[in-house]
Amino acid sequence: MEFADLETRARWQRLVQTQFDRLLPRDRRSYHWARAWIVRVIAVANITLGINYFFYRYTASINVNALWFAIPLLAAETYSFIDTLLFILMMWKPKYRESPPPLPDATVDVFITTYAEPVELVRETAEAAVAIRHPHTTYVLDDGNRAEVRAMCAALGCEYITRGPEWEGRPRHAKAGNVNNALNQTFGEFVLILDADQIPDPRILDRTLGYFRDPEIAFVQTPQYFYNVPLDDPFGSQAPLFYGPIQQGKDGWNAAFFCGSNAVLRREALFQLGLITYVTELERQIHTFISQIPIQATSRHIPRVYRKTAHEVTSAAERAADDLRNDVPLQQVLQTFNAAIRRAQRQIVALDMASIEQDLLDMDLPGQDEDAAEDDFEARLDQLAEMIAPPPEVFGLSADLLDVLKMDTHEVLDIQPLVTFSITEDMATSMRLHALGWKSAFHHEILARGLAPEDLGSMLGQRLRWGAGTIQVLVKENPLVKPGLGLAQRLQYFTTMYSYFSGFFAVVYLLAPVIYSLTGISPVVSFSGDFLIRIIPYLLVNKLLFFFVAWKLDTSRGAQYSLALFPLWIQAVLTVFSGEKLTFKVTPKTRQSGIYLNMVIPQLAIVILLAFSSLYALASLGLGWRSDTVGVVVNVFWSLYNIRMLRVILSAAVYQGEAQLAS
Amino acid sequence: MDNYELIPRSESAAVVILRGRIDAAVATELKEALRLAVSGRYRYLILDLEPVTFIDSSGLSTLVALLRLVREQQGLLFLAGVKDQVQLVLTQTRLNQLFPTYPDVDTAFKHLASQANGL
Repeated sequence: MEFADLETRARWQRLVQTQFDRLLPRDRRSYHWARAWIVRVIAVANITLGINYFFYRYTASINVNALWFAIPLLAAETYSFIDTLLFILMMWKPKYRESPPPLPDATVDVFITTYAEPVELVRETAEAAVAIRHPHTTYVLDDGNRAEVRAMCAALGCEYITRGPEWEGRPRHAKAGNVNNALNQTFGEFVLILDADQIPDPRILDRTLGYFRDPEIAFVQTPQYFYNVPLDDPFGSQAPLFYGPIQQGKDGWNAAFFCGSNAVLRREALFQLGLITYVTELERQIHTFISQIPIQATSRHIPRVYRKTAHEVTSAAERAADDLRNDVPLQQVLQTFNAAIRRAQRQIVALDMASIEQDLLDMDLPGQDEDAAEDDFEARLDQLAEMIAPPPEVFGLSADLLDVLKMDTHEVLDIQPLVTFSITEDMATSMRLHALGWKSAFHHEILARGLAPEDLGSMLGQRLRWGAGTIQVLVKENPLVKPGLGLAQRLQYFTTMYSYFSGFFAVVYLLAPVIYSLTGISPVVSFSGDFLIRIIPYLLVNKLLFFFVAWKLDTSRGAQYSLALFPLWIQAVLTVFSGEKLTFKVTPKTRQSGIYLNMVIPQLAIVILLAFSSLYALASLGLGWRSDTVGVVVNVFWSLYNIRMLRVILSAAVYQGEAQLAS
Repeated sequence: MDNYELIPRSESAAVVILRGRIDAAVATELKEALRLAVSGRYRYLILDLEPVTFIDSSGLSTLVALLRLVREQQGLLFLAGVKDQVQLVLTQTRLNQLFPTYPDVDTAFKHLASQANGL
């Protein structure tokens, strides 16, 4: 619904909610319980109506004369229905937690990660961190290695950590690397991670540590909340739906996500993960490389005299790959394989030495070993082989493999507690922890307040990173097949990943009414009667479902942005699938000012198209050029809905931050 | 091939500069190329090993094969600029006894001029 101003909208929401609220019990826990049941009932209705609608859609509504139009729309609708089903599963048994009593003896390190944020900003956070009530040590993790931050830490009495010279020229892994570096230098049982701008509440540890009484809990995540965001939240920064019902829903399936900060983690869990990751990663690499040897060997030029030897190495590699598949211990496999390489090298050395001996004899020069006994020759060959062995590249072994066999990963830290393969290290980390059998908790209470991006460019950059990072995790470590996760956990991770593919379908939804209005070509057989009677209840109940899930929360911005950011979601998917290198960009905490209409050209173009095509359709209807009144009305409403969803980003493009707020 | 360069110094003498890694990956081809370039043309060779970073058994057999070729033509083979790993390997295999070795090409050439007939 569109409202003239925020005041009216808030009043309307209050009105609706007070009417329904009377039906709900007062006590918070039973209130939560009652809401969950209402959601379940509506969800069942939504599924039933959905099946009814899609049965009709698939069997009776497809316009076979315009399949190029009908199929994309049906695909988009099917995508959305699956999205709804996944959403319903997520919301089926949300977990409502009340803070357990504190854990007075727990030792805690508080990490504040910073890279280039202004010192004053870091100081404010550090002061608040020092003031956290539960006994702890505060560390500022300064990846910018700045003298003024170091001085500030000394003044406040907190510890300062920066990367040492050993990191030079090595992969740094951005924030995850920064935290891992600090984890290796500290000792607390638990770690609270804060971003440079996240000012913690003094009670943050008192409220969260109690969860760790359960020895299987690996982390406790609290909501991210932003204090620099005006009431109408122009960039959709607040995520009350995610840091509320969604996380509670995931928590119900033991799949609450770790979101990088405002979270307390158990050091033991992180190091167990780091250790296991190191070992399995090494095994995987060795397996990959060894399996590649026979393939590589065929594409490499190998001098004729060495082919027999190279063939033996190839066979050894095939055997090693088999052994690894059959779970023969890694050490044993490597010993056997390395012995095969040494044997091959020795064969070549022996071959060359024989050729040298022959040449020397032919020249009437004394052979190098003519007076030596045979076994002495063997012994000397061993010794020589070490020094003059031909490089294993000759048998088709790559230098990369040799590094792996030497266990040189090029990394500074062998054990990396926070996962570093993705730019969204937090999601990958929590998924791996869950796969190891650890539990997690979402504590629904704002205990830290941070800064959201204040300009469109920064916001878009941040969302692109989230999108691309999430899809990257899907590609590299698909939760649907990742060993160790339960079925529901798999689906919780998959749901989030799945939602980032919406961009392609958004284009269909946005352009469909344009096509109809301009050409009269319809994606369905007819817009009237049978169609409307099925789609209207389905869509209404779907809206109702979201309304109850988001009870008392303002989630309209989130919904608008999930559609309006479609070019970004498409870009995120394409970036990952094109194999482009993704880098972690620190989101600026200070405003980069300006007007950014150039960043929203696709959205602007679609709004213009929607408006123009609607006017055109109405005009031609009025002039009697066409007679499809119902079709035009449906599509004009659809266009208006689309415009309303897109409008948010156009206002964001001209939003002027706190300057506008002040005036 | 870019791992060697032959520079004629006179009718019968030449300097051969070897480069990089002289190992099994290149030795066979190198041996053949040098045989073609030297055979019947140059009796006196100076091998400049200064730019060589690594030599393995196949590289050694290349050196010996070249020595044999030169001797068959009643010539001489000197080494120049031998260093590090190459030096170590020649000593350990005692092959250094077969190759007169000089610090650089110019010194090697002076000694060659004094020993060779009709250079």
